[in-house]
Amino acid sequence: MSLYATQPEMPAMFARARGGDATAFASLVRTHQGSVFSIGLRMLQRRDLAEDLAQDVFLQLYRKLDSIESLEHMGFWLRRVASNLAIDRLRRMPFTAAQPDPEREIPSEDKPEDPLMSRELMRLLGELPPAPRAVMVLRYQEDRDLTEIATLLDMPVNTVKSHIKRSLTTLRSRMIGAKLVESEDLS
Amino acid sequence: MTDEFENELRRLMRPVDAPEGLTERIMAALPPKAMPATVTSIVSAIESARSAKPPRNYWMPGALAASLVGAVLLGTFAAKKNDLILVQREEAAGLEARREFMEALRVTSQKLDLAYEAVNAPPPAQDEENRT
Repeated sequence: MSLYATQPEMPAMFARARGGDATAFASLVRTHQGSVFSIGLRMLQRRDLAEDLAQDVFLQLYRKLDSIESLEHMGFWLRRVASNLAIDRLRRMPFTAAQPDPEREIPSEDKPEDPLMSRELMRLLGELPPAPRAVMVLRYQEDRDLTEIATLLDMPVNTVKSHIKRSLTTLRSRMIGAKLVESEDLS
Repeated sequence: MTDEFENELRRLMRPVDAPEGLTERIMAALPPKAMPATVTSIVSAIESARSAKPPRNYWMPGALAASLVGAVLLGTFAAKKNDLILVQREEAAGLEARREFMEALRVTSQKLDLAYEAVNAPPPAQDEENRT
């Protein structure tokens, strides 16, 4: 189901935001900041960097809002800018700065049922190179299909497929190695 | 199964909520909304039209005077050159006429000489007529 199906006021809010209404723009931010922040968090592995990334993405959105045609286009645009900005920052970041901070990686109010496994997955995800990491985040966090991921990241669909295949193999073997999952469950 | 692993990944990687205050932080960082480019250009054009004095073209009278002087000089030069050509043509025609006149005089003089010689030549000897 589309995000906007449950929020029928969003198209009007989008139109008002395009007209310069700050309150309407704040509503758009509130609706999409979770997704953008999560992309930043899973990519950069640190909450402070994810917050900075979200702020920069929404600042860019504010400047480009006139050129965005619809809410769907805006969702696509946000994922594209957030992913590519995160990849750029990861590539420029010194290795030590990219290490996850266990204290800050998952907000306490959002801890899933299995925080240990979630934290370990986050750590393993952080070991993937930037592009495959972005592919995995868009595939399993944002639930995007392969074609859309290819468009979002400007790469061929076959490259997306191979990133997913190799990343799944890596994650599976490391999670088995860390005894977080039973080998027969994931084979 | 891979599908189970993927489902587990989806469950573990659900989007998290943004931290408290992120919206406010973002809104505080926004620059003042700029007017669309077309509106800005129209407004600035109107303002500049109101405030700006009409431009004074100090160079215009000078350019007019210079072009006038130039035209006069050019006309004078062309007229003088035309006169010179006419004079040269007349001189050439005069020289040609004098040459032809002198030639005619010379031919006439030659004819007169021949006529004079013919008149003054001694008649054929009568002795010879008598002898025959």
